[in-house]
Amino acid sequence: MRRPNDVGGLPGGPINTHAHEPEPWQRLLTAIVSAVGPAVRKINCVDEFRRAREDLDPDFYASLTYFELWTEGFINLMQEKGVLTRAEVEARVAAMKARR
Amino acid sequence: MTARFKPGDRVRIRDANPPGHRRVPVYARGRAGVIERLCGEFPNPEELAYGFDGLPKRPLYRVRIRQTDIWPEYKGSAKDMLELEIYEHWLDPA
Repeated sequence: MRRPNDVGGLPGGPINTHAHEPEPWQRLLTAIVSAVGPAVRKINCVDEFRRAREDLDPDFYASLTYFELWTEGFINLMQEKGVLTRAEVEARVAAMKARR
Repeated sequence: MTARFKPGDRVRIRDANPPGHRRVPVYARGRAGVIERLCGEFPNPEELAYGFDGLPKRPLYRVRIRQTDIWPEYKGSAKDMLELEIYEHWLDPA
C-alpha cells in the first residue's frame, strides 16, 4: 500500500534547488513542533508526526507544500492527543484574519 | 541482542503491503540484497508511530541492493549499489 509520502521511483517533475530563507510562520511552526516533541513536553514522537502527515488524504497531501503538510499533520495529531481541536485552530485563524 | 543475520548474508525484503506507517519504501519491497552491517537495535518505529513503546527493540540492518535490481531501466554501472536501512522483521533469508 503506497502512502502519499512514498514517491521513490515515480515521476516527480523538476526540482527547485535554489536556497531560500524560511518564512516566519515556518520558523514558528518548527518551534511549536519541537516544544511538544520528545525533548520538551513529550506529547508525541517524530514517528507519530510522520504517520500523521502520511495519513492525510493523498490528493490533499499532493496539493500541499512541505510546511503546509506539517501544519495539517500537526493539527490532526494534536487533536488525536487531546491537546487542541481543529475547530479551535480554525476559530483562532479566523479571529486573527478579522483583526488584520 | 539476537540478530538473525550477519554481514554477507543474502536476504530478501518482504513483498508485503500492510496498511499504516511502514519503514520500507514500495520500490524496495520484494528486492534481494546482502547484509552490509548490523546498525544496532532500536524501538520499532512502526509501533512508535501509533504511540506504543516499540519494544522489544528490533535489529536494524544496512542492506545493499544492486541498482539494476531495483530500476529496470537503470543506465549506470552494474556495480552501483543502493544501501537501505531495514528492520529485521521485514527481511527473509534469500
